[in-house]
Amino acid sequence: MKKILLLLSMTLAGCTHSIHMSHMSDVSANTPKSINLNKHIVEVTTEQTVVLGFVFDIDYVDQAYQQLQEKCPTEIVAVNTQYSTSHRFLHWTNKIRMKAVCAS
Amino acid sequence: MFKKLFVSIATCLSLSACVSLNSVSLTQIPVERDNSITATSHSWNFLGIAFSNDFVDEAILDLKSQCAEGKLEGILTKHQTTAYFLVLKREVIATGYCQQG
Amino acid sequence: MRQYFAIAAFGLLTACARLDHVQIGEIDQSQGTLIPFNVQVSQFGFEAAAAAELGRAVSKGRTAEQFQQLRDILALMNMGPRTGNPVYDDEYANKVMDYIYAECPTGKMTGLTSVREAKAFGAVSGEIVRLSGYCIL
Repeated sequence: MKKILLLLSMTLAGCTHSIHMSHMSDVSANTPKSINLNKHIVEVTTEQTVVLGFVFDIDYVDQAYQQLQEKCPTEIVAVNTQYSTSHRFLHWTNKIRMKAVCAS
Repeated sequence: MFKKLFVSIATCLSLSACVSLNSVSLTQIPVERDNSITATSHSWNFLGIAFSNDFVDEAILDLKSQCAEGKLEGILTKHQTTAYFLVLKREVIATGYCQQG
Repeated sequence: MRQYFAIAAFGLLTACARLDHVQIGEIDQSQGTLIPFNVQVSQFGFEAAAAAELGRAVSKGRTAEQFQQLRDILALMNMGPRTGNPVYDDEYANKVMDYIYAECPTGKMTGLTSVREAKAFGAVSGEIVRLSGYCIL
């Protein structure tokens, strides 16, 4: 019975996730038209693994901010910021994804 | 022996703090990124019981005062909570670029 | 047994709206005619541990114990902060930006509102990321 329980829980558990928020910034007049969008999109993702809740900084947020600016030295418009968590066994991974349009 | 261990653990737990991120947002980032400014405001509470969120406005006023007559862009706003033993610190950290007109 | 069916039927017919986060951007009404648009992506949310807890609450004896064990294992395997019920795919909101550009191909938009919400009933929900705004013509 315990084996069935374990198998069932592993199947149900899988890898679950939770999107806490997805924020879209304002979009300035310099934004390219959608037809040219793909070549202007920049995207960065940073993450932090947390074991049993012991975490002492949230520097991964600033890392995403820095990496986005490094990827696009010109104006960055239409910024979509997503904060999510992937749940795991006794630990979890916090993720920041920043996707924006590089108005070069 | 156990008493000392218990006191040590209790002291460590009281002094160490676990941080959690509540929300994050970012506005459009300008080409000129020379003048970076940061504003922070916080509020302490016991067992998570808070009666006001006015500390948020302090961060905005601080950010505005650091960029008087300028335009603030590329603002990264973080709302984080730091949990100490029985006490919580709520914090708003805003970083951005000031474009002086 | 009949009362459980009644509760389940009631649950399926009603769902509660949950609002987690909302943020409104600049609204510029001086640039032209504003055409509203709305983009929404969603994913099935399921809190397996809460479902196991429900099973424990409505059962007795050995079955209740097994549900309790299942709940504990699930809780340990899915640790971490959550907003609403967990989902099994965290990429469902990756393309929201592409979708708003599809709604507004000129790229001239204003009044962008970001909403994180859900239609929820207990352990089951539809976890939603919604972006609305106005396309400037």
